[in-house]
Amino acid sequence: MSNEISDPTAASGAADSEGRRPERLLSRRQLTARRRRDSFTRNWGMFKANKQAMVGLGILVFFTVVAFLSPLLVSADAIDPAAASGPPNSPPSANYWLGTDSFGRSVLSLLIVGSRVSLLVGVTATIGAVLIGATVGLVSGYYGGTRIDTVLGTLTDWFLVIPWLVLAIVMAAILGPTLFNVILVIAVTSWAMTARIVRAQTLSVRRRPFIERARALGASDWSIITHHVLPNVFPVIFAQAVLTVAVAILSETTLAILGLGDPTAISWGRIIEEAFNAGSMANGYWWWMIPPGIAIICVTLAVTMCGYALEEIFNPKLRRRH
Amino acid sequence: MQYDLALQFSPDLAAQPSVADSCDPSADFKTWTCKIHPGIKWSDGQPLTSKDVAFSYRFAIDKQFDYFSSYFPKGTTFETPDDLTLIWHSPVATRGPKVPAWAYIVPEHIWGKYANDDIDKIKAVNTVPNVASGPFIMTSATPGQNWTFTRNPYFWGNKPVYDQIVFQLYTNQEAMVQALKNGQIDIGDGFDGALLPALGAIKNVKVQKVTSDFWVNMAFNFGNQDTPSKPLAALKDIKVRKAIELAIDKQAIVDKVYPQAASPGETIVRPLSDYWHLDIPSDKVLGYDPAAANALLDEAGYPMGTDGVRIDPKNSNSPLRLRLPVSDDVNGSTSIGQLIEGFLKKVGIAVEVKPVTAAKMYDLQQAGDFDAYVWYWTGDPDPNYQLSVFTSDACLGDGHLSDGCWKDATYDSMFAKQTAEMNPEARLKIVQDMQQYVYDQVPVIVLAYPNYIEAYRTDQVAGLVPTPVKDGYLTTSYGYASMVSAHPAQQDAAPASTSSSGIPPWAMGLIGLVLVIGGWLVWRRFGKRGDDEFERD
Repeated sequence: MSNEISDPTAASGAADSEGRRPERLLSRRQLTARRRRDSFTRNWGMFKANKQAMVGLGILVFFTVVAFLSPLLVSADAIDPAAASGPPNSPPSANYWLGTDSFGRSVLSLLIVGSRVSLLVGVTATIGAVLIGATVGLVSGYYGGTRIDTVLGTLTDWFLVIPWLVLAIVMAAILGPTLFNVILVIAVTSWAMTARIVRAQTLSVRRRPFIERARALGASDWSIITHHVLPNVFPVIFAQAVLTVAVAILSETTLAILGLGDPTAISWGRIIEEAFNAGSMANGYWWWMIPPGIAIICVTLAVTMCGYALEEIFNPKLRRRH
Repeated sequence: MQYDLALQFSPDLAAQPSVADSCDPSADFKTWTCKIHPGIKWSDGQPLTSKDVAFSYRFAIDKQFDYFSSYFPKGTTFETPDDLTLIWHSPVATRGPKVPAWAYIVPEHIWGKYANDDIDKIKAVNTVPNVASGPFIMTSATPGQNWTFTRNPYFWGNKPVYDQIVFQLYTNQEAMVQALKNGQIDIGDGFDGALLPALGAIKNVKVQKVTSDFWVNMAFNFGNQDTPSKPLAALKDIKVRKAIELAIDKQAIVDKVYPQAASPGETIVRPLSDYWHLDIPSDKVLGYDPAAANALLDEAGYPMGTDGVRIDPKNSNSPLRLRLPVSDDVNGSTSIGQLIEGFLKKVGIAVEVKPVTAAKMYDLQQAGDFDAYVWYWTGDPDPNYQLSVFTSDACLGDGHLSDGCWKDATYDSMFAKQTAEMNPEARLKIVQDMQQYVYDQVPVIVLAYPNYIEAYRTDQVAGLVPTPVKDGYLTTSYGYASMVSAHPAQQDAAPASTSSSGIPPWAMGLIGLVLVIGGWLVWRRFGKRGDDEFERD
């Protein structure tokens, strides 16, 4: 147990003269775990105190549960255009709470099934975007001022400046409409902001004394980045990731509405696209167009509310502004 | 609207005099003599002669537009003994001039300099205003937005009422509905069937559902292209093709994709050619019957796999799976693809629907890189062209027209017979037999005959005449008669009134007649080639 930290005042394990119970000997790992647990409890307390954040979390949990249960809630036949038996384009009724589309499928069923793809794309694309963004930001920030920083910084600027929609349309058109490509396109077009923020945070972290100390002890760049910089930048990454989910879901919707989504995967955006193609606006089929729109608004709003709350928690400077 | 045909379509889609007063065949139908109407002038005042007609036809032949071969058999030559006579020599009997030949007459004194140029180069030539002989000439063009046509002072027929007609391009159907509703446009053309409820709800708008001039098909790939292709062997089995036809509910496709704007498909000659169209006798119809389809597939030796997808012994026992590209250029084709996927799932055939652009679709068709696809066909009212695209010859060379290169000797000989038969009744029998034969052999499944939808403001425009007479086009598809006779609706209401309330709108020469042309919404005439607009405008 070479990792043990020995406290000279509590070496014997007996109560000291002031009657305090001695701290049990803890391994470094346990100590870290406890610190993390404490910090989690503290942060969770702050999160819980934030009404907006809790409302957002509630909405997210609801949609996530719906997405996971969708195979149980809706049978495959209900969303098969050929098998649909409902009257086409009928307004909401007792049988079809949100009406039907032109195939005679229940819009409610489509909405439930669509939540799966919308959330899946939102989350996976975000993971991709944050992986790219965090890596670029960390490396760029850690080597701040060097040529690596210049190159990565320029790249980041380029992606920030270029109109993302144009880039996304071109990429999606070239790569072809599959779910994976949609995720790829969104990830590639939405990492730049994360990179910027992570770089800024990294620049500040790497000037702190404990980094100097680690370097003096002979730690490699890799070990410093992964063991010392990353844990300190992580809260920022996390908050940024949550906010990116909203962007990713909206991006998926945008691409789907433009007809660049995967035509075989039902997402909220695709429902809107189909409704649009069927002239639902001119024909007044509001029940087909509006519910997926509301679902998208709810989820992006919920994600944003959580994201801002997390940002406040992890970045005390933001808190002081209130 | 700008250019004339030698003979033009009559209201019942036969041939009637245009710049040519008549075209008469010799006894063997190999020599036709056309008499050009005297005194016709181009819009620049030059006389229109038989030499212009001969030039235009040679131009079309030289540039190798495949679809002109229906009018000009290989080796056709033209002779112009005088300015008003065109003699048309064909090596084989032909009815070309009376189809009528859908090749526009262009002025030799303008176009002559392009005669030796490559067709791609000519497409880029921009001539505004142009020189033409029809009722209107194009006086300004903003590609992708609008085209303005102004009355041709030298037009040989009745004087058009409107001074100007503007074609405005809408790339969004709903915007076009709104424009019609607000009175920004007088006529809308090429509406999606899904918008019928919205159009019906607009006051003072009359909807014209044009008799189907198209058929949407699911075509199978037989892999007989010149170049190596990738067909699915199972589809060469007629039982599989029949089973697929039995498994598809065409009525459901009509109801769900073209509600009230199509009829279920049958033969390769569409209803607009009503003289030639065959109604398949009920005992030979392959109606919707998934149970029969399943039985047929079992019998053909494609056992059902454990995952509900049949096993294809002709493809090393892999699952029976079709790649089905659909062109997003064709209204409703993605929806049709989804429905086909659903129908075939029930009989154990997996379908991979893939929407592609029209250009990509053309590449796939040329390369034979598909198992089946959803596209559409149209053509002359005369069935010759439609029938020709199923012959073995339609598989030859670059730009071949055949869908999936079905080659069938029986069909080829029937086609040769109908081509040579100059007696309409005898020919009708052969043409009907050919439709039945194609229906039985299932090289394609004709899924639906969609209607073309036009709508106009009854309070703004009147005097539109449909071609053909019954449920025909109100705009320019088969001729410009409707555009010549069209007039502002107010004339009907108060024919005697002479400007009691200011300037009547038509006197200002700024009447907007707006049609959707081109763009992704519109069915292109003559099928698969995109380069026909220039020749056919």
